[in-house]
Amino acid sequence: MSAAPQAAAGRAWPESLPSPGLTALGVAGALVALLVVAGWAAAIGPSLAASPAGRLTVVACGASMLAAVGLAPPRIRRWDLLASGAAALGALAALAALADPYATAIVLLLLGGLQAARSGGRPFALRMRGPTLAALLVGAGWLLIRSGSLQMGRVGALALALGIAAAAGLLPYAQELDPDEPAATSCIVWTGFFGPALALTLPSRLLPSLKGEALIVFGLTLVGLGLLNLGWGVVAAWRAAEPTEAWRSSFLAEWGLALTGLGLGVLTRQPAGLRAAYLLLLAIVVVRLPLYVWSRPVLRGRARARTGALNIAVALALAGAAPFAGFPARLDLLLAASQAAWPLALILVVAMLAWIAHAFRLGRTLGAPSARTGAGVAIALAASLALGLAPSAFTGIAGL
Amino acid sequence: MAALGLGLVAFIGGSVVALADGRLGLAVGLALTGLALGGLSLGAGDPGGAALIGAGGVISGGLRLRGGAAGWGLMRPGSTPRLVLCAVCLVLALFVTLSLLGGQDAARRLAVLSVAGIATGRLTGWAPRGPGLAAAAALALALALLGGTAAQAAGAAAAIVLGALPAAEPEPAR
Repeated sequence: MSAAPQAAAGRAWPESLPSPGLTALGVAGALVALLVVAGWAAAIGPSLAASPAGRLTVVACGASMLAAVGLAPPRIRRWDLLASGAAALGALAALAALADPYATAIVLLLLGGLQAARSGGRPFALRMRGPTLAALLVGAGWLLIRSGSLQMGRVGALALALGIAAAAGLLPYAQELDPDEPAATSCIVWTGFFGPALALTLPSRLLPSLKGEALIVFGLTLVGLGLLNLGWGVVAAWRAAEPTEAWRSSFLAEWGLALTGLGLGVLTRQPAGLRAAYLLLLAIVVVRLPLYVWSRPVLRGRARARTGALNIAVALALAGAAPFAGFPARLDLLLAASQAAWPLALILVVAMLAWIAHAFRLGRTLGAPSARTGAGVAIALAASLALGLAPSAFTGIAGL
Repeated sequence: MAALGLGLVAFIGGSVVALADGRLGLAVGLALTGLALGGLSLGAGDPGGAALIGAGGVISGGLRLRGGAAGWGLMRPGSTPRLVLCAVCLVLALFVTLSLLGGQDAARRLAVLSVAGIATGRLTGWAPRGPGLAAAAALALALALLGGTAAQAAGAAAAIVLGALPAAEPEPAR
């Protein structure tokens, strides 16, 4: 394109800004998020009232998105990412606020369509697969639970648990992670952003409707999916040749712990498992996801990995060492496991210890961050410290 | 009996969405699905929901006319698996609705399960962008029929937004 048409196009809409459609979506998303966080959405209708845990999740996701975008390396299209992030935050707030699981399924589908419609490395159908299956499983699961049949209720509970895994892109629905694909269109957005929001808000709305064996099926499926993802994440990290794959495995392993905690909380009806899941999912959003975004220069070969003091601190945070967020969560998880069945606690301890070596590999991928990214890493570590040192301040908001 | 007829029309609309590759076929399939699902909602005594779902289907179908392959594009070579998918979804939906679930809502459940199954099959089976977005809109409308006002509004809005997304693949960004 010559300079003259470029200048003409610049007058119509500045090239540095996102497209008008994306800008409108971003503004709408920010407004929805504001309505939900401020509690004004509840005034529109009782079916739009987010729980305190849901509101905290939206705030955490918003802070994580702002930090990831604002403190990312300077060469990215920051306004474009900010508009996409605001739109995503609005959808996430809707996920947290909508009481009707059918509406939740529809929002998942819409989010999948909007994300898959953006340019990215993977084909449209492949990117739509997870959200579509999640929407179908959540919708069909709720239909079966509401049918009143005990047998169908059990199948419905199974479908709902699988729906959470499908939405988060976990096994058995894990998708390929392309290191060259922009972070905003990759499947990691589902694992690190939308998935945690869904897992933090959906079960609390479903549990009152799940009775007897359906509740047991739901809890056992979550524990089973958790152990599957934990085991796969730990083993795949050992075998991973590429650091991107090791990051992917770290998300799977952390989700494995969270799902196990969620399932144990449902089965034992003790708060320890739910507390662990809550802290782990919050840590995925505010610590692990931004750190992954900031490590992309090394993952894409634009910078070199290194082992400095900051990298070691990041590794400790990712490993779940004290005093970072993962530590109290892991203690709660072991407590919940020992309340349910002690061999499970043994398996979890082995997996947690096996994970430590990989955390140092991940910490190295941050390389030598710029001043801007270094500030972001420091904020993420501070957030992890806050979650680790005062977990009850956060779990208390969720009533756990 | 009218409800059963509307359920079958919804199934036919969903099948047209699955079997069409052209924009006219996708638009007609979506509109048919939305109107039939809206009719079922009206039959259940919910005129507001009927208006939302019907309008969502018609507007989404109209927006789909803006781009994609011209014409109906029905039953092009290679579409046999999709035809089988439609038949299997109808049989499975009938089995689940009549044998496993039962109850008064049989026509509604038949429509939802058949359309949802067909749309999911089309979406996860390497659908190109235009037909994939149309299938996603059909799935959103089917889910909307089961829920309350929030789900109906979300379903209609989702169908319209998905219909407004362009059918052409964007340039890859790195």
